Amino acid sequence: MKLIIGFFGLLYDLVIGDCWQIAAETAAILLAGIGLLRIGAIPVADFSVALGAAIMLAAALVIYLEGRISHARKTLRAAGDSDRHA
Amino acid sequence: MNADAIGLMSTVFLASGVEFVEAFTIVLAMGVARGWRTALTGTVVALLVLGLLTLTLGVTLKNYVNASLLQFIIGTLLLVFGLQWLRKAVLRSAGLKSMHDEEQIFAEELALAEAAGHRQRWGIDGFGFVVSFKGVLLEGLEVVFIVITFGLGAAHRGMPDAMWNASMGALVAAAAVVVAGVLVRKPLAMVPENLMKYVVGLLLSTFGVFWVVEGIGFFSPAGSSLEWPGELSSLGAILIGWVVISRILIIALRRFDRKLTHSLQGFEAEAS
Repeated sequence: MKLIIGFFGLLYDLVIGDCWQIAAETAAILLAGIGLLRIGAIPVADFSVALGAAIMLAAALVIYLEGRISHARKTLRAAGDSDRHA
Repeated sequence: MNADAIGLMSTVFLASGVEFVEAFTIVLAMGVARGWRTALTGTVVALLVLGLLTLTLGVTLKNYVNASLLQFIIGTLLLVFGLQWLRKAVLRSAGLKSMHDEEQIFAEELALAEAAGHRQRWGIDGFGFVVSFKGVLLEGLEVVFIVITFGLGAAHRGMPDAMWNASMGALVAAAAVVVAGVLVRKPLAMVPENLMKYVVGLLLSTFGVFWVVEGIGFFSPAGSSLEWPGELSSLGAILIGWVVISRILIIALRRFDRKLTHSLQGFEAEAS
């Protein structure tokens, strides 16, 4: 049991790491892409560029928002700690 | 050896070199704190597991998985790895995350190893073995994915001996790290890891987008890979796209950090 938990822990560290939002965003965009491709919503000739651009923009948005939120949390926590010490 | 093969080997060398430097730091700390026999046993066992995994995964993927589906799987993995590296590089360049420092990591690993209890079995220290094994396995798994991904990708494009060239890139990187480590006998802090991680993050994300978009064609009614306009030359456009995006992100996050610090200073001044 310990070995199985350890294996999945290792797999989680490897694929998801310390930012699950990136894995979730990638999965969401790819699932949406598969859906759009199957129903033929976008002409196949334009699909590759559209999907590539969507992946890049969504990743940029996630990195920006996640960076902002985690940094703001850390900074505010540090400010709170220094207030308590003072 | 042609330019394609040299390009493939250099990419794999760069990407796997960063991983080997990290694994080396962990093994060095365990060797110093818990004994070299333990650290090297953990390393050798991890390398055996990795070898077995590479052989099994490589043969299975190459022979039994549809080529488009393979592109999709490999592209997804590359994209997720690449974006994680790119995110860290962006946060570090924007000053929101501390720089990767092998000497500091070495000191932390050493302190942990010295504080942990001793439990020996067959003359091997349990803690040192597990940490060395896990460190080499985790970093090595990333190397395996990099070798398989770039090797199969190049083979798919018709490069002869692509897997061999990719494996050689990783082996040369491993040898370079071990030789450098033995010579300096301390963590390889002089390796510009942060810059290397940024470059590798850009490369992995570029190839990731390229392959995942081609491979998603497996799910189309035709069931075959999609094509990029301009085929391979679109790789350059994707790479430029990532460079531009990452630079914009760094500038925007730096600006945010300055604003936040300024607001906090304002609050503190008002409170006092």
